[in-house]
Amino acid sequence: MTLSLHHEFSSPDHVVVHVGGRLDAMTYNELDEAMLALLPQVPEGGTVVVDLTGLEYVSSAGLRSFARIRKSMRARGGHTLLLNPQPQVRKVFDIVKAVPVSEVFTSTQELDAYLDRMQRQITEGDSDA
Amino acid sequence: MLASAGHEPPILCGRGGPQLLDFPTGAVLGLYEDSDYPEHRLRLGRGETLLMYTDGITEASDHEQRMYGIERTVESLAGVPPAASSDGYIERLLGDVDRFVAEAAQADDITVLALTWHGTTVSGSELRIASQLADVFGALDRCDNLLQEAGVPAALRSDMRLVLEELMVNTVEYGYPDGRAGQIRILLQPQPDVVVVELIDDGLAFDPLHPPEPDLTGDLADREQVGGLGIHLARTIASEMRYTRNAHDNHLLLRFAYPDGSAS
Repeated sequence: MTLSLHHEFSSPDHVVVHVGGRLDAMTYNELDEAMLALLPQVPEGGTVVVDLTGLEYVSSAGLRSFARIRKSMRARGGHTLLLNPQPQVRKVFDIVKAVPVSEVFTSTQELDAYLDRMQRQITEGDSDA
Repeated sequence: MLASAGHEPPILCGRGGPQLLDFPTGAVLGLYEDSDYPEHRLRLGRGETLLMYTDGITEASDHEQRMYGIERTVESLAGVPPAASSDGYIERLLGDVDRFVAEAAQADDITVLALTWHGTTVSGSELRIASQLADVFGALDRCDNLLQEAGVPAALRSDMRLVLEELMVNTVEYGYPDGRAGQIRILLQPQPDVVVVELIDDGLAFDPLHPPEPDLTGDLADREQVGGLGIHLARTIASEMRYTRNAHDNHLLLRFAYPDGSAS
């Protein structure tokens, strides 16, 4: 089993990256290279959702790739949200406290509710100004 | 591998009753220039003990000049509970000989050597690979197949894959800074409630139990250098990890206990 990757823009500033298979010391490079090409297309302040539904396995090499995505998005005022990690991936995240729990979502509904809240905060912030 | 220079037969204990290993011996050391010493091979199983002794035991005599003899020696050892430690065999035998001899004078030197194998029987599989990333991943797949055939549950196999990946990738990346070709050996021993793995490499000495815990702030993206995570994962997930540095090898003994309730 190798790594599978694809992505779609659900809006111009919101991209969903589906990561499936195994993300390890053999395959993390594929993700890094794909993100190097993709992330510059996401505008400042945009959002990357990494959908982990199909990811069966991650090792520390893969954790470092996720950290690079989050670092790169953060540098441009953007967000990285992780969706639906499977048991092995959750376990590894828990052990190394890889990501803030507030940025990991177990379902699309939960993620959408969060994005709506974020949207409202921005809108309300705008009307205050 | 055993060879004997005219000694009493060693006794194998812990495999049923005590067994005399009556293989041919050579002449007493130092008598002839061209003595021949036939070799005898024996593989100790876990908990088995090989007992060797000088004839001070069998020729120990009481007041009436009766010798202790090999039958009494075997009988004495038969009274030791199975899976006893080497101490248990030695204490029992010396105690019985002392009681038999009572007040009579000691006739000859008495030396007893007991070797107990505390590890596992090497009934599992051994893989040898070059210290290259591609070989490591080939080995991980083979291990996974072997463990699946042995009926190891998927969640445990996945844990084992992670630990073995982290440790072997670390060896490949840091074990051979001079670029020489290294070798990694993996011994897999699936047992009913645990899988024992030995990981042996000939790289730089490295004890994965030694590095301090990484500083986990709750966000890897906060950190400049993300090192030590793999070793931390390996240490956390393996049920037990023991390190020894042999002459030129790092030797890691890993145990992976079956999750509760899933033992086959």
